[in-house]
Amino acid sequence: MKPIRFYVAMILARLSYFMLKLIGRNATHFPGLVAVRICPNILKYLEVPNKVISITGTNGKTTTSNMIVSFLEANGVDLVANQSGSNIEGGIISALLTSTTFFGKNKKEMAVFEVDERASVYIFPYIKPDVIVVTNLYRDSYKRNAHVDYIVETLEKSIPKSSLLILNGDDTLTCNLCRDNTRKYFSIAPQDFEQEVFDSIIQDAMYCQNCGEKLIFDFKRYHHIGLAHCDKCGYKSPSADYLLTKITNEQIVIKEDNTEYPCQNSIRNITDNYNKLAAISALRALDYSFDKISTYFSKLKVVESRYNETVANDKRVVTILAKDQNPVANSRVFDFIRKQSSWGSISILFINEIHPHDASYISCENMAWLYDADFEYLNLPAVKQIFCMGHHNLEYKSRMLFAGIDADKIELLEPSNTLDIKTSTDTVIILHGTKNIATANKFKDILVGGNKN
Amino acid sequence: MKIEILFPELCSLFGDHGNIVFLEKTFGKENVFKTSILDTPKFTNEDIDFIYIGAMNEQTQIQVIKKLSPFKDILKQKLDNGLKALFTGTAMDIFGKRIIEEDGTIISGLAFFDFETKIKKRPRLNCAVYGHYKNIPIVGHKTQFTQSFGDNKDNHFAKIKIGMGINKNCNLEGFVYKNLIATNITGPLLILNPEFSEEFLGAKIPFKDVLIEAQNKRIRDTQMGKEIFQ
Repeated sequence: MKPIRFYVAMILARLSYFMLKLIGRNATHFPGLVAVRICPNILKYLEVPNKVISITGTNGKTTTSNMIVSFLEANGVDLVANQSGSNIEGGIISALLTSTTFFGKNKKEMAVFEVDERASVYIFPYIKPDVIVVTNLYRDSYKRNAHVDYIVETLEKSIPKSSLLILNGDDTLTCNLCRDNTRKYFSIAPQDFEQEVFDSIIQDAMYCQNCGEKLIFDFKRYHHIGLAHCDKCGYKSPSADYLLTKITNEQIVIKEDNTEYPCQNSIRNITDNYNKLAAISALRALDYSFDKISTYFSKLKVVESRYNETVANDKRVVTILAKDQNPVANSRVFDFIRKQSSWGSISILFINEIHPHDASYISCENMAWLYDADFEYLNLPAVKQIFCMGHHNLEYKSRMLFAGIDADKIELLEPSNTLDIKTSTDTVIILHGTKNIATANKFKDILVGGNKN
Repeated sequence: MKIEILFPELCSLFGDHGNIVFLEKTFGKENVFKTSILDTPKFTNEDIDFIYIGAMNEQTQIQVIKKLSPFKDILKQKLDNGLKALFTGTAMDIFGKRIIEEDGTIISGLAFFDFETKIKKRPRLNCAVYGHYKNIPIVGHKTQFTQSFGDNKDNHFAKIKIGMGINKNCNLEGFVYKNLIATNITGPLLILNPEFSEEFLGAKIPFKDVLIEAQNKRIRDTQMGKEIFQ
């Protein structure tokens, strides 16, 4: 029997939902927050659909979730998702408020929830996902996530024993999670065009989790991602159930049970292909045929809020979500930039801070993460100008100087919602965080508009 | 100056890698030696002038205590003979008497100082810090699961004006023994505090003007900021 406070929570949370909708707001987090304040264990009483898929991990969970949701919807599945909402408790509850009756009874066929790895401990034990996809595990925000061992410990505690795990087999930390659970691994085989990256600052898994000996990487993609083995105890990276064998500009090929399945493709970027492979692996685990998956993924494009490229008057303007407080996400973007041999001369504008560029705002943000990010990758002859805009522009400059970047290339800009810079390079890249996507788009329009004139 | 970085592959969390980069830039990479957790520390049988250990996770704290325990007396003797050392972030905790985990498990520390550290994982403790070492300004951040308890009235590293010292009820941060400084402050400490670095290391530091400008901005922001505890 449900307690009275559950019903009080349902009334007030639903009321807040309608009020927010009435004034044109999203209502993707607040109603859940109201509900959990009144009834802290409300997730225990809200019925979830028969099938629940969850996606967690440090990077790529939003993109992976969006691909899964989009595929399932295109295939007529009546589902609930937190696609545009938050991925912590409030967001999951807010989503479930839309998929249940007043008495908490489920109305949907399936749920797809992106879940913040740190918040998983408040969510997984209640919603008990049938399938959990873990994209990867890295060092993230020091403030929220502390260190990666804390996140591993949190997931170990929160993942139900009954969940089928879809794990990144190339990630030594992810693939060793919850060893008693049933699991499937996805992996990208080393590609001809790939150069191993040995110089990542962050190396979060250097030692064997079984015996403590130094792991030997037979192939090192970047950071602790790759194929590793231990000479002392015999540990080795797992064999993949879903192996992406080949990436070209036209297609990817995925091997499962010794059969190869081609799928049309337009991206060669490894990070994007990891997300795509994670989504495909989850859908295969749900028994969707490769034919269906392939047809859908052939049409897929990377979400534009994460990457956008516009060419006007022979000038390329690129916006990339580099994130803030997340050194690995930044390093991956820097690595991507250094590999773009066709982009000519490059200017980079950094606006990836956690706080808005409101002149009255004072920020004491911890910027130590800059020293975990591989700014050394940007110390290139092709990079001609670097603009640092924001509250912490001096700290960006300090970091770049220690990365060996010439001081003459670095220009400081105060936080602003407008942009007035002069660039003479072939490509201008705007690196932004999750909180300033709109500003990045505005700056892109200014730069593209300027080029058109 | 011959510098040994102890266990940098495990002890450089929370941006403390920046302290290593700073030392390499200041003294030259050829003078900075990195010792892995599987190797024997160089200070035990070579002349080393400076030792650095950065922030680490809780499991690594246990590993490092175990690793350094057999060399504790040598380290103490070298410190008494003038060896300089800097331990930042959670590296400070291992030099206390004990670390107490949430479930009550007690891990004996190296006991260079008379304090104990208590771990509480939720909520995590984050705060900006502004204070002084002697008369030199110190800024930085604390990002940890721990608070430490003990008397550091006569041997603290910095007096804190904004933020917290070794615990939320204390404005005295860290511990000093001769040329050893142990502090929970990250940032990275050496980069965010150029005057301190110059004084403590006794060396000309790189990019001093930019670092001082950045520090002055951070001092202003910390004094005016509303989000000291985050």
